[in-house]
Amino acid sequence: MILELEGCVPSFLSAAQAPLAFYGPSNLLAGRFLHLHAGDGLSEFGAPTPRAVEYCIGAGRYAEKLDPPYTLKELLEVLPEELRKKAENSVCLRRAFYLSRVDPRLLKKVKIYVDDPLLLFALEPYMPAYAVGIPGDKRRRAKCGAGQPPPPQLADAEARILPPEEFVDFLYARDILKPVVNPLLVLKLLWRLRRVL
Amino acid sequence: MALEVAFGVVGLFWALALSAAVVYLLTYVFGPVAGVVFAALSATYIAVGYSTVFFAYKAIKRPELVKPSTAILWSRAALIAAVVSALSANLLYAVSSALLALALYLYAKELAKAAT
Repeated sequence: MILELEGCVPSFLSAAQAPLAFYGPSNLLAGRFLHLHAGDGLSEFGAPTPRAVEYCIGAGRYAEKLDPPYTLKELLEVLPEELRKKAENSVCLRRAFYLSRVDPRLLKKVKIYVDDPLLLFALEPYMPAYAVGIPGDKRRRAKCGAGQPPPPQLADAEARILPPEEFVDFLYARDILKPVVNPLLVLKLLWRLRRVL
Repeated sequence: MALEVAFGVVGLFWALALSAAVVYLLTYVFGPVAGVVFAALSATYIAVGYSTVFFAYKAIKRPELVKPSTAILWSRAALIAAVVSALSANLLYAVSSALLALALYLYAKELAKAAT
């Protein structure tokens, strides 16, 4: 979920706990932030969030039907004809697939600033995400702190994008015991059998 | 996957018979609550177990239905079924489920590699 911030954003960002990802004008930052970049790359395999798919081709609700990870081919199969053409030619969508394979494991203890909305969408499943300048799922009016927020300190860093096979390993290992501790997931698993049979 | 279907049907049938016997014994010794709790646990295990068997059967018949996400999901289910089976000494089904889990995991990686 992305929270759209308004009000005293610098006060909010300096007081917030890491990890978090923020997208917006850099003059709103306060305190230490990692300015995260991602190298060039396009892909047809990953786990772009419905929001990322909505941003690129306006087909978020179709992406909700797919479980991560999925391929561009799988997405094309669930799209209606007019959106399929758009998706086939979309560089943005291929970029979203590529960035969705970002490795969040090294970013668990930092506050991250991104200047690419697709990178914010990619980080959204792993940490709280805040934005100024793109519509979020909810709005939050940040309260002003008593003192002056600290000046921004930005350190550049390159995001690690996992190769497809490592991304499968990452998703496989994540939450592997969840079905054991959550009986609802077992029921969901049985329900999924409906699709296979 | 063929092993899973063969051993799964036999192994889970055996598990079903064993569970019925244990439920009867628990109800007789400790009362109906113990029997109901064990029956619920073994019913979940057998349901997940038979699901992996059906999945393996379907994957043999229509491999194009196996997507990366499905492969990961059912590989995890088979892994859990394998661990539970090994703990309950249902060894044939435990081995076949472990092999199914491994096969699906490797298949998910292959699909990912192919889709790059």
